[in-house]
Amino acid sequence: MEERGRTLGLGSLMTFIILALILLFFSIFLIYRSMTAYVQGDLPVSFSYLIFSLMGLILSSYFLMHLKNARLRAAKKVPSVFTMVECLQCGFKNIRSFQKGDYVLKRAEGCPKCSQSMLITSIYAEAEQKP
Amino acid sequence: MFAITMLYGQRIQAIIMLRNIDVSLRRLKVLRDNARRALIETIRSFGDSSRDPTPEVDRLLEYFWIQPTNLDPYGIVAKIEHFMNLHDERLRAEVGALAPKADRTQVVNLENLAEVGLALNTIYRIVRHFYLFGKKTMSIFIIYQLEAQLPQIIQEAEAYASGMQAFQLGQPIGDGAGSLVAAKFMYGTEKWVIAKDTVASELSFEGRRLIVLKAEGPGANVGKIGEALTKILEENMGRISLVIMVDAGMKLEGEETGGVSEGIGAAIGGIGVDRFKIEETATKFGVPVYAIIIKESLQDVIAPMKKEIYAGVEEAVNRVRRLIRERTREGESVILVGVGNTIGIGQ
Ligand SMILES: [Zn+2]
Repeated sequence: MEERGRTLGLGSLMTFIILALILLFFSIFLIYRSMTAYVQGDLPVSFSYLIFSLMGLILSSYFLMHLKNARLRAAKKVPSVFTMVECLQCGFKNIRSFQKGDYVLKRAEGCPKCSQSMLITSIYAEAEQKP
Repeated sequence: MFAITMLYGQRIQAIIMLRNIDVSLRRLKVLRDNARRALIETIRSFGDSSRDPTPEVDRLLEYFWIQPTNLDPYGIVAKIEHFMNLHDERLRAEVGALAPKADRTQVVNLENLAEVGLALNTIYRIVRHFYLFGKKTMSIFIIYQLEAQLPQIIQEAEAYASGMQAFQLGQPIGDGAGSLVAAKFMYGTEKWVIAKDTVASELSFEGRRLIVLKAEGPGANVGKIGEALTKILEENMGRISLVIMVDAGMKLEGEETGGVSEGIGAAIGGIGVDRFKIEETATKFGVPVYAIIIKESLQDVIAPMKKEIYAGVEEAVNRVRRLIRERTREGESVILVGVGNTIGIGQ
């Protein structure tokens, strides 16, 4: 199985981020312009700059938040499954990744210590690890 | 602004909810398509390379069975059982014909994979129906109902989807916890087939005669536990001091995965055929039925078994031992039933 969930391609993801960042910087620039206009005493101009910059800020943060959700969905992966084989003679234990045909309580390969055949005692999924 | 909200508020709300539903619907479609692809790929790996199984798989994914009417409920359990068996046999035969190179275990696993695909397809089709119906009528009530149920529906669909990997590769799933408890007692003893896909074995445990029942592994069987238990109780004329049933049970939010709890009653899921049979015979012979539950969430039930559940299995094994010691005397007979899908678990 591949990644679960609807995820964006890497290319469109990058353009998405860049666009959101450009919007963010532009909004910050507008705030700066609004402040300079205010200092110069041009209140109406200052006010309209402020409105536009706020709109830009809200939009860009909304996009970035959306992105975070998309990334979270992409991070959900299929769990990896391990097989534990045990030697009932000498107690030797080995954990390896699951192989097709394995099942619990199946006689498995020989023990590397005493060459008796070992037993599969558990097959388990390791909890998903989040970075 | 106020006037707009007054006049079109409901409509705007409906549109927003429809958009949310649309996102979920697409997710359901992805899950369904993944299941379909997995089924086709797996069947192809066991079948003729010359034949394309896609049309057959698409036909299988629309398979349905009609539950008998409960207008006259007398004898309905037998009817349900009959039609359910028919459904299972038909599905297994179809899958088996598509995958002639698969052995018995693999055919059973494929059958379960087909069930998963079927369930996901049904969920998708029903949600799509109500979505399109809501969109067509723009009825806020239909949309509300769908929106309210969606989180649960999605959770269920994800649970099914997580089972696909296990059924494809033959890995044990959370539901197998009960079977694993029985398997641990059975291991190394002589087994016989007592009912379809069900095995039994007899051993002595601290002076007691212990009869153990479980579905036959390592294929994805659940067995005919009700039938098997009834058979044993009748063979022994009810001279059984105790029946212990171990099963995976639903954990509530906030409870720990792999926790174990005990109670009374027939711990077995499904539509109720097995439970009915067990309750009927246990009552007839007056045999006490104890239940041990290993708790897990809905998602764990058909996902590959977690480590915590193994700890729960160990704990359940100890509880079974303790129950036998405390509730029976030497020389008495006890039946232990491991309930659940035994995929990836031998005996
Ligand atoms: Zn050894």
